[in-house]
Amino acid sequence: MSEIKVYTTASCPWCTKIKNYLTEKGLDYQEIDVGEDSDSVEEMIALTGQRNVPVTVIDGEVIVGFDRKALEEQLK
Amino acid sequence: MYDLIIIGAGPAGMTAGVYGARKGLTPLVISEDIGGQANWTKNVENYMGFTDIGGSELMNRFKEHMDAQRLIYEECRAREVRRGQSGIGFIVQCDNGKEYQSRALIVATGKRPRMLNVPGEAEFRGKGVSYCATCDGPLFRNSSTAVIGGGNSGVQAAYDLLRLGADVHLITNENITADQALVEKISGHPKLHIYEWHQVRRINGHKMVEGITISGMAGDGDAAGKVISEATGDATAGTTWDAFRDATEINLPVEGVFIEVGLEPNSQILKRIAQLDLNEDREIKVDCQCRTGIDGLFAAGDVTDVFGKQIIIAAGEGAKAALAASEYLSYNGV
Repeated sequence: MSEIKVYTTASCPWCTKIKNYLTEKGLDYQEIDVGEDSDSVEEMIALTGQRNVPVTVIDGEVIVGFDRKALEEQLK
Repeated sequence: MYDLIIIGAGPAGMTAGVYGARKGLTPLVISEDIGGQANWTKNVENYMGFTDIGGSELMNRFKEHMDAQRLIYEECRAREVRRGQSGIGFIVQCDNGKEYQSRALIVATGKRPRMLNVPGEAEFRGKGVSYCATCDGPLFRNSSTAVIGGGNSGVQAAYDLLRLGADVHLITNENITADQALVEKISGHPKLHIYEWHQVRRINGHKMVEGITISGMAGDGDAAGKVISEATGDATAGTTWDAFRDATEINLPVEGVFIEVGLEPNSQILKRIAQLDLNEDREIKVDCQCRTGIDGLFAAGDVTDVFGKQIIIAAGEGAKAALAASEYLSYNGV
């Protein structure tokens, strides 16, 4: 089972899309709301070198934005 | 072959789907997402029947409505449209490698954010430059930010950022044109600095955005220059001065730059359709029945030249396009 983290903000529709995608696949994930926690913003920037959400980390591999192909590839 | 394909699943596309299905057609809806631009609107307060609803939530309601009609939905990005063999119908090529063919086609592909096209914009995209204040605004809580654009989207972004405790420099190359009700929400806020008749020269930084350089719209005829800025040496944010307008560059230290300078239509997928009529803004010209002038090709919503880029208008246009497509198919024996 893959270890999945999703960096989100509460009002971001693409974040909702990723969460729905993972839920439909029956996958567990850890959600980090970077809008509520400035430490996690810094963590996300250090990890990705950028400052947009959503960010999905699957077994250490980073995917910025909702990229269905990249998600499917990483979840194979 | 489908009788009807609808490209786009925003308010126009989804409404077209529902109306098409209720006319007994079996429409295929092709879209890379559900809701389109409407998703980016935090609060919709002018869609009848809802005094206040999130744009994304409203689009979920549309999707439920579409699902209730058992529409066929293909989640992919339409890359290109071309005429079918012998000029009959249309072939839609998607980024999933598949092609779909139909007798009639409704294009409801909406618009996408327009870029500012200044130095630093591409370099710092995602590194402080954002086109979605709804998404990325919360990452700039209590930070210094700039919002570029004085229309409804720009003022709404400024309002959202102010609520997050951010300092907001609102910059527009004309007067603020947002609805009065929206302007009143931000007016006089102590953390708001408004620069009307100013343009962005460049976005500065190293690894991330560190600031922007702006200047007045010098030589711009009789445009009434107004500015609220520390640069005046009279740093009373939330107040408006007259007649500060020259080409002197002003550097503003900001971490976030939210670009809200309008939208451009996603009409490029029709570039292989000969004789399609676009207006000077590259919107698809349609008549009162959403006909494009190409046999069997209809268009609806913000991608067209119809007046008023509003969810409620797009939905109505989608309904009209589906009714017109149904009539067209019926007339042609489908």
